[in-house]
Amino acid sequence: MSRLSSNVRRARPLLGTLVEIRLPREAAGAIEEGFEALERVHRLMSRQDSESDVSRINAASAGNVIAIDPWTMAVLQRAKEIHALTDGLFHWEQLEMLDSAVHVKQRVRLTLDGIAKGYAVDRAVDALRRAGADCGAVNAGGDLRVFGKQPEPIYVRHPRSPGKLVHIGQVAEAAVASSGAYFSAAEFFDPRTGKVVKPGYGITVIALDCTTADALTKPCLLEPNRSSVIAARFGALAVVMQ
Amino acid sequence: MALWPAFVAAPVAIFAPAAHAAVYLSVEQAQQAVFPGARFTQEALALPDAPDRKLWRVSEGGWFIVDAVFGKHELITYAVGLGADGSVRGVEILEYLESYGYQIRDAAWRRQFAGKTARDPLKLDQDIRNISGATLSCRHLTDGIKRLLGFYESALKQR
Repeated sequence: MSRLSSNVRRARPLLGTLVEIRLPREAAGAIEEGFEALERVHRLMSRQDSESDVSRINAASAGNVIAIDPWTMAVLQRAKEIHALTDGLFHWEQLEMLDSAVHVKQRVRLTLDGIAKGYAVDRAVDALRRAGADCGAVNAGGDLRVFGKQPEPIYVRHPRSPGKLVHIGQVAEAAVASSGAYFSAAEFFDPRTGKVVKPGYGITVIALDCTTADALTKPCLLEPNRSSVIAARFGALAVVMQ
Repeated sequence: MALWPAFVAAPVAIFAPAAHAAVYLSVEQAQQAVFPGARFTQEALALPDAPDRKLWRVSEGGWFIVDAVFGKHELITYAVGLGADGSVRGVEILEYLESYGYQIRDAAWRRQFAGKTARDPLKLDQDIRNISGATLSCRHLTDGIKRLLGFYESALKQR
């Protein structure tokens, strides 16, 4: 497999999972730039780190204005759009967005766990490209994006038997994210009803960017019969795997 | 499918690899990634509770530690570089091995991976790229890194 030996792969624990970057050997010098982008998103959006933008927003009392990083602002804006375009299936906290700050009108429990990993993958791909890599892949614990002209095979874990891999096809210049009850009887919160859902199936979303793919998995998981319609609003594809 | 000329759907093929493994870095490569240009002197450790742990003193001060953590289905070998003040200089994954059998805790089964490097690919199904839907938590790994920081405080700081 000459293709394998011509690649460099590195992995680090970030964003609550293992993040892998794969690049052609001649572009290996760009890897550090990719990890720097991932680490920046991790620092800004982690709920564990009390200095992160997300923690500072959650610690704010009603009426406070919290200055945030442009990257956090971009994620919040995208989250709000996706909330509106999925009829509320994507969770959103009532925050008023100012130029480079948010106005916390009432105390919130913000989490960007359903979108930040995908956003981090997108920023890493940008950074890798800027550093001279013309193809490669970034995979943040199953939320992945491939870039470059060469189509890449995509495997999805079988939702009820994660040791089995399903080859769903090939993509070029696309992002793939999946959600489901993989390793345990995972529970998902439906923001419209406040009820807990335990799906017996998995959802895979293929989109042009990983922010969108990551964020759409949950709305599609909550409404599997409408998942193709929801995904189509974003130019994405949704696959339900029983 | 008109929207997605780039997506080529395959006839769905399901298979269960015997093990899915990735070798990222050798110990030497990880040492140079965390402490470029430094020299490393291995020090003996006899820790019955941590048989996989290995320790090096770094020429410019600090320590380089390799250890392994087990999840239910995965084995992760990783390296942590600590500066002279005990702060984390870098964390690198050396190997990731995943299996849904019970073999992963079996030392004899694991020996087939010993000594492999990133340039010497395994003959298992390890070149399965682009797996979506993992969501393996790295909690074992973050717990392991915390244990190494405790090990530094209790055993290395005074050395």
